[in-house]
Amino acid sequence: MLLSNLEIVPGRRVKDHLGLVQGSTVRAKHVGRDIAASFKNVFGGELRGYTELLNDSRQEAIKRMAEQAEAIGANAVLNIRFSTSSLTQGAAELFVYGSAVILED
Amino acid sequence: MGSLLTLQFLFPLLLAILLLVTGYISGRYLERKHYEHIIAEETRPGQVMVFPLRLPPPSLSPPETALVMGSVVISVDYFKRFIATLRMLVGGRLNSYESLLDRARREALLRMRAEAEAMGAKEVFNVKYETAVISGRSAQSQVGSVEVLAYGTALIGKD
Amino acid sequence: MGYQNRQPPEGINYVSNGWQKDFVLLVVGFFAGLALLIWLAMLALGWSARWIPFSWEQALSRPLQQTVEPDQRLRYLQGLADDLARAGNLKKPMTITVHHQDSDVVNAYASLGGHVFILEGLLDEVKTEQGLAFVLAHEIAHVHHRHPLKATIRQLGFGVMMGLVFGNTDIAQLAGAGGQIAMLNYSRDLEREADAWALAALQKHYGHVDGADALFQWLAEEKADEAPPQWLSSHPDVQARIERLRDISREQGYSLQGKVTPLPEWETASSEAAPPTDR
Repeated sequence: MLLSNLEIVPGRRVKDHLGLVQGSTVRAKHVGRDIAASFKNVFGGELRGYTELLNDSRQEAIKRMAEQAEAIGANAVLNIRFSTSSLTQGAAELFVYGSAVILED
Repeated sequence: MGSLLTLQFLFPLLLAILLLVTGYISGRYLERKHYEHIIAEETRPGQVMVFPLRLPPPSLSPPETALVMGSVVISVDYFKRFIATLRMLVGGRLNSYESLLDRARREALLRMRAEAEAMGAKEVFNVKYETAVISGRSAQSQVGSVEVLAYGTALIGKD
Repeated sequence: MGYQNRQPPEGINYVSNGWQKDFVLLVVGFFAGLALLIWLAMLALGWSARWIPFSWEQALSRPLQQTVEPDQRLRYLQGLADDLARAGNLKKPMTITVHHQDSDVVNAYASLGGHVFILEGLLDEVKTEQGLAFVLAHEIAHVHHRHPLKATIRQLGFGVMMGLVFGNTDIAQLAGAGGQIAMLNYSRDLEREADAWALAALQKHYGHVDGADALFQWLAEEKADEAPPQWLSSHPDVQARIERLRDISREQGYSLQGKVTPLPEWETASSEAAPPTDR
């Protein structure tokens, strides 16, 4: 599965456009991470635990989007966009969407 | 009893001052270190180039493409948050948060560039940013942190 | 191809040292503003008390109305209070209702609606009528100047104001602490005001002010080391109070020598039988 946030793939032609595919996941962080984060909040700096958690979640969202694309017979997703929203206190939605296409050869 | 009462009254104040000083010192130290790191990385020769352009340059040998991204969650220190709370009473520029967001954006971009470099890419096109506030479990805990995600398409030359 | 990345200079999107100046200005400005706000709030809230009629206070404090049949001691206290109120020229629609409370604490206090509470501990420690009369007159003075109402309005109004302005933040706590200190400062002013009124009432009633500081003398001897520092106390320092009473007496030409009468004996049986007054 070729993933790209460009509208084209250099050197290749798009044969068919199959429409929107999306992947999303909602994740909550556990209390321990919040406690560590509240300490960090005094000193400042990166919250590594959160960074990793959000990265993992985003990978899962991408995987789900790719799954959708594969199910409808696409071999690439173009013009991918990400979106993150803080759903409630302590939970976030990671959302990714793009245009599923079939590339020639 | 008299001195105890005084202590009871002064304790929250002393705690606040202690937190302020700790936040100030560590926040400043971390920020300086971070900027040194960012600038060194950004100006390193051979660093992957980034362009927020929609289309890649037309070339004779079309490159491989791959989605790359980098993200960082960064938190505000106590001192900066304190200034911000005061600032919000009068309005105006929130100096203390500006550098924080600047650091987060540049760090996220650097991580994306590192991923592209690991794939052997020289440029990343159509770079986009996504910023989200990550709130704590409760409003009282006031965990103020921001996630910045940078993503784009890496062009991996075939030659 | 002409594709290259040039490094923009630092310090355009953020000011690396801009916030230190900001911080000093904000902190100084904040504390100055807070002090002004507290001062204005206290003044306005205290002032607003004059538009609340005394009958509202009485209506509010109706649950305090006496239900027990007054015994000999309470009749004596009520009589003394009425005499002092007359001597001190208590504002017209106001009335004083004296209550007796079974507590070892040496204290007395005035509440909304002209209710004055005398605690058993006070009657045990103050041996003379003049000593008791001063404390009673002091509490009547609080009623006269509507201090319980002012204190209540300040406490409630200040809490609401700070909640509105600062919400639930660290700064609200800081402001609250400042407010408490200001409140205590006002409280000490009110005490001084009440002391002066009480002294005048005593002079008018007895023709002298001898023995008025009996309670403070006792406090200075027995409880000197238990007192909190003055800025954290709702009452002025005891020693300073004794001296101030003397100064006022001298200035106003009150007689410092006179006949001091001991408290009358009342049937002890009634004091044991007296049920604790409700609160």
